[in-house]
Amino acid sequence: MSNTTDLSPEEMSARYALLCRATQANLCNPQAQNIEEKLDAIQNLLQHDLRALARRGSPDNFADIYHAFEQELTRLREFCAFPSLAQKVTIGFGGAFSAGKSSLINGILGQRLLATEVDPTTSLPTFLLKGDQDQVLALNLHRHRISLSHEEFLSLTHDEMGKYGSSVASLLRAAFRTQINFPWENIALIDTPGYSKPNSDTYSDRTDEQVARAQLNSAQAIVWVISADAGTISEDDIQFLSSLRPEIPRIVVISRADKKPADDIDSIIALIRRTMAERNLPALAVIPFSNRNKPEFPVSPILAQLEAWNTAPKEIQIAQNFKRQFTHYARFIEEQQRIAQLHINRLNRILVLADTSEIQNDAEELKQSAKASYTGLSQLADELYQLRQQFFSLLKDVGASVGIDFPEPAEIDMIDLQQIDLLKVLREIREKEGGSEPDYQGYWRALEGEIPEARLAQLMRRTAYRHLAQLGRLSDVDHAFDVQTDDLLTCATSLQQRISTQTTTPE
Amino acid sequence: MSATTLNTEQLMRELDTLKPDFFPLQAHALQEVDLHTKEMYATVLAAVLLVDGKVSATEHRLFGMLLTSLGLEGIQARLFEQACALDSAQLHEFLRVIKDAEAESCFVLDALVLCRVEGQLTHLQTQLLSELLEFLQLPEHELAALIFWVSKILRLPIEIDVPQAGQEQLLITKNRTEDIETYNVGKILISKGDYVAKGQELVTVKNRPTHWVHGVRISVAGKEDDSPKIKSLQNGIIYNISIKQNEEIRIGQVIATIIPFSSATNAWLEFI
Repeated sequence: MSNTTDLSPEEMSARYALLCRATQANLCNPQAQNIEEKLDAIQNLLQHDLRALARRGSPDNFADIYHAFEQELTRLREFCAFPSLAQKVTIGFGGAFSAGKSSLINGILGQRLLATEVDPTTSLPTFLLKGDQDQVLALNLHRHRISLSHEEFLSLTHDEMGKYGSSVASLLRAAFRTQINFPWENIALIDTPGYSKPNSDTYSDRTDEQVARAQLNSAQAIVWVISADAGTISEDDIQFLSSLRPEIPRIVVISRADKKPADDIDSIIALIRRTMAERNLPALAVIPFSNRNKPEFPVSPILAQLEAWNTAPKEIQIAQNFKRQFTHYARFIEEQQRIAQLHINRLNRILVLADTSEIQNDAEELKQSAKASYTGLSQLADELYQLRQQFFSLLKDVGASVGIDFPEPAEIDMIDLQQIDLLKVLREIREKEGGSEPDYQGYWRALEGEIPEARLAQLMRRTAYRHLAQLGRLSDVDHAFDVQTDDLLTCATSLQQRISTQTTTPE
Repeated sequence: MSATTLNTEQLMRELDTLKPDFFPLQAHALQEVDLHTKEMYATVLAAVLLVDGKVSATEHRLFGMLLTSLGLEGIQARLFEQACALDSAQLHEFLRVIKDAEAESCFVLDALVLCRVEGQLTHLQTQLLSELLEFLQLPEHELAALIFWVSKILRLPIEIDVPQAGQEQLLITKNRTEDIETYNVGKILISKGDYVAKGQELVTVKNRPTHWVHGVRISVAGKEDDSPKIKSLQNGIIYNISIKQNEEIRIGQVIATIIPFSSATNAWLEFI
């Protein structure tokens, strides 16, 4: 092991300079300062207002919700520091420690851009993407952008403490390595830290599952790396993959494939495929790879997949992920409201059926309590709504400052509509009650005609007639009965003026 | 030039999004019932929409409009989530609240309009709707009348025969003070399928009695001519006319039948 006394005065001085950059707190750039203030306002909203709200009522997993907010805010800061990331499809490389993620990325890129120690190395999530110049940038302790030399970046390994007596890696939030000759215009690769358990020797507060999970959940595709030594996919890997968004496409790469005979590799591929399918974690492909035996385990199938992702539309999930957390919280309040409504409904029945004033009084008392609870929850829901509005307004501002569009996503676009088995439940109820198979075919046949387009347009509020007649004093509304949306073009301006001044809903 | 086109397109999209808010459906029959009942109702409607595993933009839009008419705007996403978690106990709760609110017909009507608006009913939809009808135990004539109303709302050809129990007869009953037994039909002012409002003239007769009858009234002479007129005392749609011009009609004779409006059609009334 090296010792700090082995360092030359120049090396000591360079390391000191790096430490200074890693901890620099002041910003000179006014625009960056402005963005920073907005980000701080968002953080303040979460740290104070959201927590204050939670004290008045929150779900049991509020800590998880809050943590997810923080993780997402970290990602937002990364995007703000490197807005070009927003234009990329991000591919997350994940896996256990020493699975060979960094080696795989180096193999894919054909050069040693990442440190590849055998033991767990840096806990620094590292983005690799195409840029105007070859450089390494990083977010420092105070989330400000700093430059690193290639050598400085490669020195951020587990060995750093022993060699330099410092741990700059633990002060940095993320690194961004841009290359002029990076092969893909539209994708960014993220090398995520491996995950481990808190009681493992290699655990640190940053090299944990949460960092890797947040990074991979934000990716548009995942390359999951398993060392051939493992022989199959581990239960820990499965558990981890299960906790990621299921809609993210994934491939599995078996690294160090040269360490096993070819027949064994085939068996490992089959076993991994089967295990993942059984656990409902299907992989697009399971690909063996070796840096040492490239003819037998070439990189080309991985490159082909990356090429396909290079043409995929980009999708920034930050606003969606924030919205998801707000929705989780809102669902809790709504569920409590639903329960309170149910109580009120039941107590109303009791009040109607109760034949003594004593029972009526008791029921009335409980009803008032349920009503008070409902009112309190409604107030909480309103305040959460206001907070959410404020939050997304700030987020939009931040986005505008860095040229990334962060509109508040519609809730309906985010829910995962599952095919419901209501039919099965209803059949079970019928069969339990001894009912026979119903036959209403005659009725359904009566509904087989075609709906006229004009009627559909009326139903959907896509005709001009009704609206113009109500809004306007336009002279030609009579013949516009079946006018479709496209024909509204000529009326759009006057309609807009009227709509903008209309304050009440017409009868 | 291109910037102008772009703005117009954007404006059109925004207008299209705004329209359901500015021009909502009429108030739903259940608008005034308690929230629990309305949410159960809307949750099962959402479950019906989800039976094929996807909900089209058209269905989303119309469902959203229906929710607004119920006073449940802005909770569509939550309802779909709740719908995905429906179980037997919740279905029984749905049945209880819907019976308490006498909303079985409303539910079937809304469900049929929502399912049918995107296209023909799918196999899964018909299976689910059939099971729901068994669950709700709706009488045959009520179901036939609902199919009639759905056809009207969607402007489909009327292909259903509504049983007599689903029709309301307009007939002349004997007047307490007069002994006139027969009249002659003057003008028939209605046709099959016409909407008739309460008080609307249906038929003129050539005699001049002043009779109060069940379902219709033979009134005194109108202003335009001196012949007495038969007026409807109900809102509905003429389903059948059983008299002819100049025909002699007698006390107790059915002159027409109507399908009376039910509160189930409230939200959709403008399309009937």
